[in-house]
Amino acid sequence: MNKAALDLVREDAAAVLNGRVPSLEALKGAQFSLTGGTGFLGTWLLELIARLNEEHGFGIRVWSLSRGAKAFALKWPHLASQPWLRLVEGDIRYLAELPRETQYLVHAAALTDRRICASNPSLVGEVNTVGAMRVLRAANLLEDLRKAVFLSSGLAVGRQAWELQAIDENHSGPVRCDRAESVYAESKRMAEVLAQCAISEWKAPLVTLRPFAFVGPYQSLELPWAVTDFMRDSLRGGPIRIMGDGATVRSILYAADFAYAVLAVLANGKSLATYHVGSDEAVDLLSLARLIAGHFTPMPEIRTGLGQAGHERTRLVPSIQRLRNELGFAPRFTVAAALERSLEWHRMMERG
Amino acid sequence: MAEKLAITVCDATLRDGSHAYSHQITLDQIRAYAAAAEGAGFDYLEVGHGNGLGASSLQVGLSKETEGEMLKAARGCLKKTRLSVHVMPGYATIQREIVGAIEAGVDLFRVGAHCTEADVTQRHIGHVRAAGKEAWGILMMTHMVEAEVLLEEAKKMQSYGAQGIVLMDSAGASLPDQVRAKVGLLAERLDVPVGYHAHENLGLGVANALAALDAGARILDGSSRGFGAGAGNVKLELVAAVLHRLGYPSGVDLYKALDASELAAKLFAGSLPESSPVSIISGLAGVFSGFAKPVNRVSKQLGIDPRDLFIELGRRKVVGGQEDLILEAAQELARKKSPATQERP
Repeated sequence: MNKAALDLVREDAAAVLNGRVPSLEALKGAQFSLTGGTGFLGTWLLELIARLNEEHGFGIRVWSLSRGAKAFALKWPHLASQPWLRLVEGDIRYLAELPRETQYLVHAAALTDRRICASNPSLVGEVNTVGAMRVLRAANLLEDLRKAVFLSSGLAVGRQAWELQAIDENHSGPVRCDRAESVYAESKRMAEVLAQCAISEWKAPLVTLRPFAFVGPYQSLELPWAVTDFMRDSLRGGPIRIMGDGATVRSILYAADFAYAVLAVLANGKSLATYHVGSDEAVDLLSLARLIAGHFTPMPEIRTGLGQAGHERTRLVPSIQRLRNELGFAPRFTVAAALERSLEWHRMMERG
Repeated sequence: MAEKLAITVCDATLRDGSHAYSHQITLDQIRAYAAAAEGAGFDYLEVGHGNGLGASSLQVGLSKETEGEMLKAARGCLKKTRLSVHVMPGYATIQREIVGAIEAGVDLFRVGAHCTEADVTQRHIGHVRAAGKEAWGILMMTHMVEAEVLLEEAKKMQSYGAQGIVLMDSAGASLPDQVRAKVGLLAERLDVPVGYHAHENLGLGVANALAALDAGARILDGSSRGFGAGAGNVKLELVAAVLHRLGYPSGVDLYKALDASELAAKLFAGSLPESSPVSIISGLAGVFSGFAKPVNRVSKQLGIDPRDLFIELGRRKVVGGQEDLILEAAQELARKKSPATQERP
């Protein structure tokens, strides 16, 4: 990564930690174990830990298991070369044990790629449920485990009704179990239930986090999400294509804010609790496209109504009230700022 | 009554027609026809070898012109009409063909696969989208499977980033009710627009295109004068007329579409497809229309009835890309017909 892009990441990591470091004191000197730590969100977690270690003397050590450890080391050497980080290549389905000194555990490993969900849905089911089971069993052997955060998904709670402004942690919407496309939501739901079993059976100090949608540096623009599609098409000169009328509503949290939320929950979250983590700033797709297009001259054309006539409007916006009330969490980056920083980073990366 | 949605019209004359012309379309023909297609206001003009990028080969036929030259010739004549290519992973590789086609100015890559094999399109669609170009998913030989199977495969392509899905009736074997059911299910369940590509083996091209429209299709393919594989594609000038009659908005100028069809008739005189006993049988057998020329050639060489050969290929469920099996099946029929011709050790 070039210096300008790295500086941007470090500035934003520092920005979300600014004034909050004392609240993370519990994590000082701790041994973390992280699954899926080389993904988009895991990488941001490492960036924040790097700031805590380098600027605030936290002395956190991280053992990180993922299938992409070698590729990660080649791609992001500024993180991979850190003495406090141990990258381990492995598949979560075959995890036998975690480092016995583990005090804080973050289970982020999952198959989330929509393309894999479509092509190989049973693999998604296997990795997300068997992986969760293996992590829980390994966690049960740890003597000094203080807290474990399981990353679930906002989709695990089923569909949000259009009329409902935001969904809280008690929401339970429908998931079609007669369709293969439900496998991601169902597997995350099953993983949540398995986590609840661990809480019930061996009093696991476990917190469930349900992430919603994110944007930020390190995010691959090859993933066919709306925000990545719009950004990629704009960077290539456009047009931005919206299948429906653009009324579909989403919320998008900046990745640095997400990483801080994970650390805040590890340090201060209530064991056994479930929290939604995302942005409660709703944005419809047309507005999102305009926000992105506004960063380009000339502005890329925005085309709507390209899909089928009955293209359904959907809404997915979390209530993050519990996280706000219990941990004082509030996103530091608005959607507009998150998009601006993300686009800036991608431009810097393209310039090399 | 609900307002009718605009229909995207794709002209396959200079790609599907390549099958009917033994892939010998010249640069002058491309330039002349592309200018007419631009004038007619077709949304996309597809150009290249009948089997798409990278397919020019001894096995399926060598193109007269190189791919790059064909695309360049068409590109130079198009302003509003966008340039598209057919892509079949296996023939087309990313580095060898797709990168070159992007450089040549192709706007849309229609990445196709047999109707049960959408998985093979992931990398190609992904690469095209990452390059900022438009990619659609094309499911071929769609008469062979049920609507639910097509939906699953189409959803895969959509998840890879396809911005449109087109169902091809490659063998011209489908009936309107089947088209309605298949297009209807996809139109109901996909986010991206759904299209239909009809062939005339059973003389149902316009009927099937209409059924697709009724079921919610937003993209229609066709070829001027039906210039295409087998008994030809649905005639684009008829598609234009039907859209006009039914009041579907489109960018097509009807008179100029008719003029383009007249030009195609002149440019490709003597090679325009027509219904024949063999093309009807291939439709009934459900065999890829593009097999007509090699089937006729091999049948003549071995002294067998090409209709028998199509029936045999249909029995074997042969699909595009399995051209090698034409000779094998023909030899078997020839042996059965005349045991004396059996190979000796």
